[in-house]
Amino acid sequence: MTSAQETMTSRERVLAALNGDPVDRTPVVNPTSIATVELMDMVDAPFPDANREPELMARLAECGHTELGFDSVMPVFSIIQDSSALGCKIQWEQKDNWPTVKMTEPIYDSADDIEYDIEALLAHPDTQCVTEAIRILRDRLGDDVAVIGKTMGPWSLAYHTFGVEPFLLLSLDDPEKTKEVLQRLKRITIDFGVMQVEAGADALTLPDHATGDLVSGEYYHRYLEELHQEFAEAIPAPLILHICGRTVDRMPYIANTGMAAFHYDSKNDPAESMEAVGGRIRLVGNVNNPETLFARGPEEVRAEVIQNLEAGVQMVGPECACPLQTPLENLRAIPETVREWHAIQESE
Amino acid sequence: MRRQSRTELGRRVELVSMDRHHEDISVGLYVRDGERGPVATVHSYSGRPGVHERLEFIARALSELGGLERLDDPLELRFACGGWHATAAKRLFLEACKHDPATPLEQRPLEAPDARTEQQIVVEPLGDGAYEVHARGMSDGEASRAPAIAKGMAKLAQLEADEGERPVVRFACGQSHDPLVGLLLGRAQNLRAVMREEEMKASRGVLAAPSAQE
Repeated sequence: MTSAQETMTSRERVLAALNGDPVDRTPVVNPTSIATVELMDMVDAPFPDANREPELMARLAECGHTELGFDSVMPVFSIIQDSSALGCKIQWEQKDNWPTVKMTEPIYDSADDIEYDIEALLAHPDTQCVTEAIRILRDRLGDDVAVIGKTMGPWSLAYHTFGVEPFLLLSLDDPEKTKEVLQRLKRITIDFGVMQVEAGADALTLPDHATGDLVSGEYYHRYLEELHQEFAEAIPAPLILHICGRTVDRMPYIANTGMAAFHYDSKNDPAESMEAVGGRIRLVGNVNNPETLFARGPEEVRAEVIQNLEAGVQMVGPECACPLQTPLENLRAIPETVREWHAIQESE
Repeated sequence: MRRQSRTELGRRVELVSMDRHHEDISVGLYVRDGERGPVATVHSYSGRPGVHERLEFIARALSELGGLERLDDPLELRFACGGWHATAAKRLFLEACKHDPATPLEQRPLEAPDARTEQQIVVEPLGDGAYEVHARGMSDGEASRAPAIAKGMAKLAQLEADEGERPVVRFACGQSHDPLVGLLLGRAQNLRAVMREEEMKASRGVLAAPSAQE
């Protein structure tokens, strides 16, 4: 199968799609990690070091384009860089597992506890590692490939700093205090995001885990919709909101935020999701990770990619951070299928 | 080391994410269609020193422990029957990677003492790829361990299990695989531990949403 003629660079394609402009073909985008243990070996950049050393972080991220054929690279593999800088305890793990925040050892009990020196936080090695990796990638890839950074939203930061259960209980018991927590944490989201844009990031993923399994759509509307609007205005780059789980109930609210795109989960049907956002925000996703990319083969990946393409989803990629043991042939099947599908469309 | 492309390697069958015997590199077993049936390749993307020698050792272990035939390429192998036993190949690969390089590679016998009882477990080849499991030395009134071990072997390698009273398992290809059966015999005695190990392996590297983390 020959590919359709491509007239845009990967970066142009991704930025156009994020902006809602025409593209030569659907971009293949990873707002979250596609690092695997095999890619780590390929470029000798293993976890946990690739989360802490800029050169290794950049080298591993670059594989997403050079080895897998994605149109973007995304060096912020984990969700802990900003929380580490904030003082959370981190389990750095080994090559074959994700670093995580020890949420059983929270650093805050109440909104009044939230105090941080933003300059020190941005100068911390784990936030500096991200900006330095972005600089390296921008330098190496020039204008050819889209570089995507990541800044965590205040809801996720609250999970990390208070613990999931205490924060959710607070949100039930005291909405005003909950809002105060989010207000106090939001500066981290904005300033870390801006720092990455200044370092050369073309767009930012903004995970804010108001996930379908724990938080309702109404909750999203009450606590996060306005804050997310504020982020879209304050951070001078396209934002890609990431929330896991079944989220169709909050997609109409998400579409109000002014963010460029929503990175959506495979628990949401592509056509139903496109209808829910009504053309007011772009979608990116939603190839299933644990079942399809991790455990099945390229044929099953192709089927999910085509389902997205046929629904008109603007950017295709995995639904979330890929399992570290994902077979490379499955990840490569995503850009291959997108190219094949467009070639067929063009020939018809 | 030359970086092989996906089309050369074929489909990945199993992956060891961190090889404890060689610098925590990842090592994979891949399979593709060859002229004389499926061809397996032991591969790592790591370019660290000594990787090729390590992969050669694993290929040799697949051959010595599991009876796979080695091909001209020292990292390529096939089942002697010309077919492909995917689950058995996974199990064998994991055992080959675990094997301490300092200890000799030897085919396991079709007889072993049971780990839980005083019984001696013997596997008898019946021909046409079938094997019957016997237990000897049961004390008075003690149940034979043979049916449980046959069941474990069938589960570990997705072998066909006879529905009759005799604990018989068989390879679908209808050919004998004595070394593989010797290997399975040891692991089938503690199936629960194997399953636990597999569950732990499957959960590593899968990022849970913060709401599902601790």
